Amino acid sequence: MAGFVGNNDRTVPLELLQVLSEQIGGEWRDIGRILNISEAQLDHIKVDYTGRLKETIYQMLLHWKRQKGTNATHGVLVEALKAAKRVDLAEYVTKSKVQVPAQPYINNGQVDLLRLLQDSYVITYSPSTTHAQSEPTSCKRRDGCLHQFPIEVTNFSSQYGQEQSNAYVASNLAGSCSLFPKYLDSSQACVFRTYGPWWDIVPSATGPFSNRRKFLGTDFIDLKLETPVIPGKIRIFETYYPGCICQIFGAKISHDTLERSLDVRWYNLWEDENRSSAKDTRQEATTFEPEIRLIPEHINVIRLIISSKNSEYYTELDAVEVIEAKRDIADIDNELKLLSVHERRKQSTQSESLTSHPPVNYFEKLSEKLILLILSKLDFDDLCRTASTCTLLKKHCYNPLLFQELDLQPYWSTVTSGLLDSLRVTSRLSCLQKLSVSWCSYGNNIRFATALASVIREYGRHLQVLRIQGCSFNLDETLLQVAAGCKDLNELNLSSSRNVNNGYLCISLMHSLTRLDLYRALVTEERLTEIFKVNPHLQHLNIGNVITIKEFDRVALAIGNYCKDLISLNLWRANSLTSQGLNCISQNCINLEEIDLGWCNKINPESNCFVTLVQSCTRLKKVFLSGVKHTRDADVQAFATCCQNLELLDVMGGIFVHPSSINRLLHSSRRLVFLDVSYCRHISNQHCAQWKISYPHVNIKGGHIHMT
Amino acid sequence: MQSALVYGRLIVRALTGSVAYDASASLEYREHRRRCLRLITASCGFSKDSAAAAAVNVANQVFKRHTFGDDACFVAKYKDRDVLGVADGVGGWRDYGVDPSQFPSQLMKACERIVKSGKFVSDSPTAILSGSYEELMQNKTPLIGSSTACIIVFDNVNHILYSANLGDSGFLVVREGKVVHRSEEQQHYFNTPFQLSIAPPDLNSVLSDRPESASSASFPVREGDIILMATDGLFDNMPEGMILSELAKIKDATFGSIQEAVNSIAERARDLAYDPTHMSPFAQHARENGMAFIGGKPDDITVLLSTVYSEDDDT
Repeated sequence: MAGFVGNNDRTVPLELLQVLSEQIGGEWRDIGRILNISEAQLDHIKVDYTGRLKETIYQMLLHWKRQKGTNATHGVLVEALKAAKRVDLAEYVTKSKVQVPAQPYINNGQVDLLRLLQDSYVITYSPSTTHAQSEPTSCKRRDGCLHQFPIEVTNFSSQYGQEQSNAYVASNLAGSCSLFPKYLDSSQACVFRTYGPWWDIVPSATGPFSNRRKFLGTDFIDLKLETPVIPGKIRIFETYYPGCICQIFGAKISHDTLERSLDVRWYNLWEDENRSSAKDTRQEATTFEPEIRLIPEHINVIRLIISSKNSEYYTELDAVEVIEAKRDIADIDNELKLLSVHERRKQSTQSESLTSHPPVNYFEKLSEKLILLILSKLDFDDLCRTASTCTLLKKHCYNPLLFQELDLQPYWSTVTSGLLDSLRVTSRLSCLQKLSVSWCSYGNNIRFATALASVIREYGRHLQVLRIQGCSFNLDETLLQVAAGCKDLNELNLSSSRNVNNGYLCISLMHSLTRLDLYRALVTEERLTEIFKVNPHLQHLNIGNVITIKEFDRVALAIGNYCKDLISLNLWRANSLTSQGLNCISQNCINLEEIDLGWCNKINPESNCFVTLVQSCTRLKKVFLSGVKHTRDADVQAFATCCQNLELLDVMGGIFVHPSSINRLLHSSRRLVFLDVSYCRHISNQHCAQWKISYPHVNIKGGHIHMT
Repeated sequence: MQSALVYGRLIVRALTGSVAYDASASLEYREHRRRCLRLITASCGFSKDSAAAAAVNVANQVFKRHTFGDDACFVAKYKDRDVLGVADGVGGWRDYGVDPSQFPSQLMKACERIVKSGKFVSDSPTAILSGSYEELMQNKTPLIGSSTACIIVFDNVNHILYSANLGDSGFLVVREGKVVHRSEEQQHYFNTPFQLSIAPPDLNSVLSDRPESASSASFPVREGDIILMATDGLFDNMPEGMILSELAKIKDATFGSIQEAVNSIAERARDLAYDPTHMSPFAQHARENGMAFIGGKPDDITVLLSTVYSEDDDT
């Protein structure tokens, strides 16, 4: 046979026989005869496997192979097929590649035809549902494995940069490396909004719910891959203050999943809560390549969980490379078995319990209050598992008093609309006071939105705290129910949850808010004014990065008019805010303890508005003016003299700030614990080094910044 | 398994060629699909200071890829769009201790990043300019400087060239030896073009135009057209006629001959810049504005030369 790969003398693999057994029909006996199998043998085989033609044929071919041993070659088979007038199959066999993989493709008698053909034969067969016919440009095949960089960032919890810009934004994480191996603070990197403990020691910080499971994640980011793969390696390029990734999850999210709001199955690819708690003091760009668990399904979305609580400065990521796993059926098989066991265990925690009646129940003799006290120490998933042990415990575990504060954020990967529904129908939430579904659900999940709205409608009567952060499902219905039923709601956190059409209207129907977090929301000045009007007791307000506000001065005026009790105010990147607006706030909100005016560059400090601010709001503990380039020495001096309680100050990028005024500040502000003087033209490494020695109780950032 | 059987048969059939192959149908399909026209681009330039080097025939500064003195340029591609850009830095910043080549080169690099990430639309090169200017403004490290900018986006499928020009850099489209399209120059007054700038806060009177004030245009282009984009270092020294005669020397649409042509144009412009007797376009403008001036204008020169070719030519 001219022109074909020299396969003829290799013995046929079993897999090929399996394939052929499906393709051969009634002519099997002819083929058998040509292969020199005796009539008697053919009869035996036929009778043994009556009714199963495929199995019959396979057994015949197997018999031939066993009989002939090393003579059961491709060549012989090809000739036989030709003689039996199956030229098509003959050519098929001839065109097989020389290299036949060692791993069996047969799993419980089922042939993985797809993999079989992909790996060993010339034709690359791709079913239309999962794989693309040709490789897109973001992917490269190297050493036989597909390397790809995500093409898009679909969701994230926060970002440092301006919305819709390219500098310091989360979307910089998509695409290939642009900075690595450089180690620097670059606008081309993906940078999150916060780092370190500095946002936990301020007046605006909220404590965790009681008996909340330990959860270190501070931010998340979702990356979409062009080609679904089973990941073998994930390489994360960290270009500044590395070491903050604490978990990696993956999921297969198809168009169908989003359309029909199906539950998303998140696979935990890697986690190490301890990694981010150890301080990574290396000052160099690193590639982080953790051991990824092998999963049985192809994924196309990766979620990174970042924990920057122990980071010295903003952690920055350049790119994420996802490398396909070399397919190993044995490993996948094992993993499948493990996963199926895990699945069964998981399912049982949500399902009805087994009934069991022990002869003597000492546990029953304990007082209910005591049992409740014991169970109150358990966190949510442990409580669910305990509930599935026996009816008595189930009764206790379903006590609504244990569900007064429900934080589902640590379980975000497994929280589904089904869970919310089951919580609702089993009446566990009748005492619900605090609820958090932050980070849960992916995409515009209509079912989840409805389930949450139903929970609020039935059990929101006593709700005081509601947190829905980083979610993409529509909030209109939920907000409507909150407005209608939650008369006691005092905290509403919708940070980075932007799928709201007219839901913001509902917030202006809530009258007892003390905390409102609308970071990155899409709310207008009018709506905000209405909200402020009816919530005069607002104490903590975050309207950072709200791009739908075009005239921030109007908002500032409203705040000054209505929210005089304000304690903390976050106006991060309020680009249109001028000194006039700031003055409205200074004059009225005299109880202010915390203010963030990062990158508000339309404010002209020459108008003395910062001085006015600190003279009026003497209780200020935190003043953040990051990126406000025109901050002057006079302002810093005012901070030194007027803010006796100053604990945190950030004047990053202050081009006019000189070391002398900072010196004065450090000397007089005895309570200062944090000072950021990075990118201040007149403040050098040496200054910072000296201050760190003279004022060891102050954490000083600056001087060690590596500039582009 | 049922589906596997079906697919299995399909494969086998495909292999043996028993699925009918209709040759005529495939030809029709090709003609129906819109031809893709692409650009082959070559660049060349000289920094102002390289004149001295040229005098001693030192060629090392000549073929640097993206910056020539205070000028910068980029050539990028994303899917079916080709994007080119030039920027001319304002040298006056040197007097303030600022390196004038930083701003234009960062601007062009930022444009290139936007193009390579695909976050742009073909018909709005102004948006690319705005985006990159915005990115420079957002940078924590203060970047100071100003420059003109000219960006063109060529859509390979609908064959239209979209342009945005802010200042006195520009481009021409030449077809069969004639200029069929020329970009519009923007000047506030003589020798003061429109410019993007980031100024230090203590300087109040720095001229700064918004990216949105760039003049934008679109022009349909044909196979064989030549696009020449350059900073004012070229247009101020070499009159249009001379440019056209240089372009006429292009032999074919290969990269080699385009690179040769662009090198010769840039070299010639540089020579003319230092010729004190040459009546350059700059000298003519000066005279029109009442200044007695003769000779070339020594300046950084950056030239990008592209030719439009059809993808299917090779088959």
